[in-house]
Amino acid sequence: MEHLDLALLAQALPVNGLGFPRIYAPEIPSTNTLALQKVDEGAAPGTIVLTDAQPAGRGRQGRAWVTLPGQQILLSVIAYPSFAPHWLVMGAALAAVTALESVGVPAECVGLKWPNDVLVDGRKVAGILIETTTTAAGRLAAVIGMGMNVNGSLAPWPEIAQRATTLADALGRDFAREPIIIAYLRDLGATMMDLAARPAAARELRDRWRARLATLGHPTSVHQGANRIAGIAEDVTADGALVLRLADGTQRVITWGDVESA
Amino acid sequence: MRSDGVSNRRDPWEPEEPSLVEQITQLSDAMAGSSVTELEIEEEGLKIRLQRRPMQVVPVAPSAAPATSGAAKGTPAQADDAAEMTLAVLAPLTGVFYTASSPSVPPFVQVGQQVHPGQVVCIVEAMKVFNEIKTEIGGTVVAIPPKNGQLVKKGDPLVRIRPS
Repeated sequence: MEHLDLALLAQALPVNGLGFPRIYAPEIPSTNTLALQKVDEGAAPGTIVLTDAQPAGRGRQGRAWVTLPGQQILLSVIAYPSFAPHWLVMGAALAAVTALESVGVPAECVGLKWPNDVLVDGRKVAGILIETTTTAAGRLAAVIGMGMNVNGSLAPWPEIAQRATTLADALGRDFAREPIIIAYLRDLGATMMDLAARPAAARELRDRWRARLATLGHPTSVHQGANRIAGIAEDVTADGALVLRLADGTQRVITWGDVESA
Repeated sequence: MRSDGVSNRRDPWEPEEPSLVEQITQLSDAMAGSSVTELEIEEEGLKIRLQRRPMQVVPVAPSAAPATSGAAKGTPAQADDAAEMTLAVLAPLTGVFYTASSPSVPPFVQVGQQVHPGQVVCIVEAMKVFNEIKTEIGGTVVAIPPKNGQLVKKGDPLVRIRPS
C-alpha cells in the first residue's frame, strides 16, 4: 500500500488555518469518527485526520464507500465555525472542485450533484460528510470529512462503477494525492475565513456553488426514505435547498434525500 | 406555585424581610448559576416550587434547514409532564431524525437507558449536515417519539428523559 508523503504535507501545511496538527495513521477505521473523538478531547481548530485506508468509512447514514487502500484521499477537518455549518457543505464541495482543477482535471469535466457529490464526467469521484457536535463548553464543532477516489479502478465493482469512478479511470493517468489535499485545504480554509469575516461571503459562496451544480435543469428524482419525488431540478434556494418542479407544475423544496438523475 | 396567605405572614414590627418576589428572584438567580433544576421550599404553609428548564440541549448553531433561514439556535428541553417530571430534548431544526450514526451500529440511546449530561442521544440531518444532538440533563430515557429516518420539525420532542 502506498503511504501519504507526510514530509511533503508538512512543507505546505498549515494553509489558511487548516492542516495543523495532523493526525495520521496508515489505517484508521473512520477519520470522521476519530475526529469527533478528538473534538471531545479538545482538538485545536484546523486539526486534520488523514489515512491511507479507512475500512469503516461511511457515507450518508452508513452508506458504504469502496476501500482502495493507498489510492484514495481520506481526510477529516476539525473546525469550530461561527457560521451555520450548512455553508460548509457548499464550501467543501467547491474546495474539492478547485483542488481537482488545480491538478489538471479540465473544468468542463467537473461538476457537483446536489448538494455535495463531486462528479467527473458525470460520475462521482468524491463525497463530503459533515458532522457537527457541541463541545463541553457548548461550542459548535464541525467535522468535515472528504473521501476522493484518486487512483486505482472501480472496475471490479461494475454496479458501483456505473455511478462512481476514480480520477485515474476517468482521465487515464495516476495522480499524486498530496497536491490535491493541499489545494483542497487551501481553498476550504480561505472559504471558512471569508465566511467568518464577511456576511456577504455566504451569498457569494452559494452563487459559486450553484454555478457548478450539474443537477440543475435536469430530470431528477429524490428518494426520501420510502418516498420518491420526481421532477425537474429547477434551482436552489438562497440557503441551498433544491427546488424541484413537479409534473403537476408545483414546486417542492428539498432539503434531504438521495438525489439521482431520472 | 401558590401565593395565597402570603400577606398575613409578615409581622410589621419585625425587621423587614425580602418580599416574596425578591425571595423568588434570589432563589431563581441562585438556581440559574447552578446545576439545580428544581427547588421546593415549604415554610409556614407556604410552598414554593421553582423549576428551571435546562439550558441548551443542542448545538449552538446547528445547520439551518432552509425553511428556518439562518442558523437555528438551540432549543431548551421542555418539561412536558409535570407529574412524571419528564423533559424532552427538542429538535433544534427541521430535519431527519436518526437513532444511530449508521444503520450497522447500535442506537445512541434506548428506552430505559441512563443518560448523562453531554451524551449524544440522536442525530438530526439537514442539508446533508449530520448534527449530533446532546442532552444537557441526566436521567432515564422514557420515550423516543420519532422513528428512525422520520422527518422531524423544529421543536418536536426527540427523546424524553426522566431526570435523575
